[in-house]
Amino acid sequence: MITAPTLTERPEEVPPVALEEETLEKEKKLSPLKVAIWVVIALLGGVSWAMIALVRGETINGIWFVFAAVCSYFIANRFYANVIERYLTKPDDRRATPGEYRLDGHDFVPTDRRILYGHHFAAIAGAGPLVGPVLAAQMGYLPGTIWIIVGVVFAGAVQDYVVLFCSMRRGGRSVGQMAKDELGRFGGIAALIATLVIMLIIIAILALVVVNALGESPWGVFSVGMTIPIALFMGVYLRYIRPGKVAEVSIIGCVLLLAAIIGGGYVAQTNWGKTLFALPPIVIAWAIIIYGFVAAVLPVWLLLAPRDYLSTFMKVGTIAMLAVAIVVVRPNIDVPAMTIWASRSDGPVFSGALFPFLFVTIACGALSGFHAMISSGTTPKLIEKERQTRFIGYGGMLMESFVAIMALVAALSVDHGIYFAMNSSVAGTGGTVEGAVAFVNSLGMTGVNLTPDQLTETARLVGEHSIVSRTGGAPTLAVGLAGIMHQWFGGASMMSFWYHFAIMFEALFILTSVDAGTRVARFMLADALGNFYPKFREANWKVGSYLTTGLMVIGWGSILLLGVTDPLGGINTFFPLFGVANQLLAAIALAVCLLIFARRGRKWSLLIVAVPLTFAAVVTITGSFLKIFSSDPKVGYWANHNRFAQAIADGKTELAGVKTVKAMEAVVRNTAVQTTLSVVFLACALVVIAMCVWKTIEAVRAGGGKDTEDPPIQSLIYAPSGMMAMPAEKVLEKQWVEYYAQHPGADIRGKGH
Amino acid sequence: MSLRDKAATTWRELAWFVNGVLGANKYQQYLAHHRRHGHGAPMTEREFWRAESDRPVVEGRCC
Repeated sequence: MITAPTLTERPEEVPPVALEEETLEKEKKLSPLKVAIWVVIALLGGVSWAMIALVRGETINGIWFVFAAVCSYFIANRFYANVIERYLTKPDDRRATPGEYRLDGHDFVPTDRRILYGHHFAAIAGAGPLVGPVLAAQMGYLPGTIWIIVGVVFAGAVQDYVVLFCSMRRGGRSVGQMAKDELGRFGGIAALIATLVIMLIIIAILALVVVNALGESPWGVFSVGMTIPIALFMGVYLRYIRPGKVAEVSIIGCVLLLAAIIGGGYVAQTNWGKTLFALPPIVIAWAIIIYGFVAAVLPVWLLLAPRDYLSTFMKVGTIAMLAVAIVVVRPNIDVPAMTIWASRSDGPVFSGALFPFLFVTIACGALSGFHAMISSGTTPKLIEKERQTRFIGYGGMLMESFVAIMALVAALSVDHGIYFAMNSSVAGTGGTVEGAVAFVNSLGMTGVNLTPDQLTETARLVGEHSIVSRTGGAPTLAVGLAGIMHQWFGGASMMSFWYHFAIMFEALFILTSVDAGTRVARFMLADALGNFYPKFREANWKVGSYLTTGLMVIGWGSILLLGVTDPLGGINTFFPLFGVANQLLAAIALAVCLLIFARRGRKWSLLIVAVPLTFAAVVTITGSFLKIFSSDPKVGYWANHNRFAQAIADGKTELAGVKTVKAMEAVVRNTAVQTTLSVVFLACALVVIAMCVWKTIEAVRAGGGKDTEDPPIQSLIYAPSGMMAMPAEKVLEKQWVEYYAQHPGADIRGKGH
Repeated sequence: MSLRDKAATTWRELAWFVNGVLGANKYQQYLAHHRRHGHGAPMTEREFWRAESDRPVVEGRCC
């Protein structure tokens, strides 16, 4: 059994470091006014959900999605997160966090909760929640909306919160290390391999999104390419000219970035611009691979750090702008709640039935395993007080889900016919306007009557020579965003600017993920190889860092090249792999936390983790099995592999829109790779999950198990737990201000005021 | 409080938040840390940022 932590006595002159249990309970009691406010929120949310789910008009206003989401988040954050805190995590503010007891002024610093919230959000949010919902719009708005909102409340935010909490109690250890501590060496290795493979896939597919957005687009290539010299300039500025002026240089960088977008429009009209920057996808893919390697071995200050500042600035700014724009413009959506593809498995945007493939297509925004890396990486080392993990972990993920909802609204506001012309692969549309129109109109969707004019006019408005088969989600989102933004600001003449603005900021996020991801993966590999040859762990051993970086880049680079050259449309076939990989990572993280809490002696409250774990496991395992074993060649990699291999053996030269033998061989090769990858990470994830579940059952029977937490240390600082301080917290905060006034040396927090 | 004071406070809070999220307050953090635990004279702002930018640490970024 676990006994309550025994903490040393707090010195008498130090004010309390935590609210008393009774005070906390009293604070949480709902006054009549508060009850009234919550009733209003619940009613507004209920009406919005009814508008979305039940009312069937010709169109639906996008604002209902925002209301339904925001009201649901508020309720979940106030009530469900409270249940998790009370019965499962049980934070104790008397215990010092790693930031306090390992304070080193660098990695371990107790950071103000509001700053840490921004910091954590900037780390978890990227292109994922912007891409998945766009693809999921193929099935109509209802399935995607339900999964994004319900998924985040019961799965995604829970995962981020419990991982953050468990890691914080363990000095900020990573999920991989926690798996090793709980499961032993074998389980730890399986978790490590799964994590590495999954990261490579995620990086590759994200890079694929950028390639698809920039292919044959001189404007896009120029403006995104300009981010590199801009970042280099910022890096030099920060190191040599005005060190530490981060906000200043970020603003300069953003201005230059906007100039690059505007300049791109002029460059794209010139002949030299076209010849220089209208690059085929394969060239862009190689450029990103070379960039990924160079960026990962260059000093961080030169390229990576300044890019990251730009990316953070753009991220927060653009998301806030989009939120305001949706509220101001209130776009009408004419996509049906459920399209015909919701009940079929051969959709042109992504293949597979609603269950399980919708749930893996929308990964980030509902449940994202990648977040476990952040929640068990930087953030736990910066937490100030234990109770703040709820606001940061649970609340941070709610914000990410909101980004996904806005991306969904933006994608839905695009005309449905244009949407399918943009997101169907070349194998269907032939890559031409006429082909796309014939293909989309032949799909048999009611209310869709696409004309060639619509496609050429939209392409002209956004300043691209064609929008046919611009798969990957980013271009569609950019068209949607341009459609919303130009109504608010700038009119039709600004549409091309907004389109390229959207492309730019998505590419910026993704390239930041690519280089940071490569670096993180490289450190993981170096750490693993260090078990056999310790020199790999030395950070300044050049040979080792080049070798590990090279291996990781070859890993994701080869998947990226396969995706770019895939005759069936890389996104269509590879994206499910990305989603499955991400959710499997989530399942691993949840399973490890389940075991941790079971060993802490929790019983029924384990359901809070067990339910999303079961769901994620069922979704990903079913998805993987279908991808590996399904006999439907549209769904199963292996079935498609055999079909094309057989056709080649029979001497056929064309099959299912793939028109050359060489392309058919590419399909055979890609499907083999896809199958292999599916098998590898499914096997690793299954090992970890099965071991966790088995040991969890043991622990529940025994009423607890071994304790892997760091020993409790008495905290000697105080800060409120949520965004706003409760009245009792304010009283306590005041006592601390007075205490610090008398004991100036006691304030360990570097608040930077 | 006059409108001007309010605006000034809001601006200060915004700057505090942005600098915190971006990590621009690290030197102040270092100074505070140094006052408590450090020995000798603290690094100058320039020296600190040079040392800081040479740290090979990388934060993960998600999708």
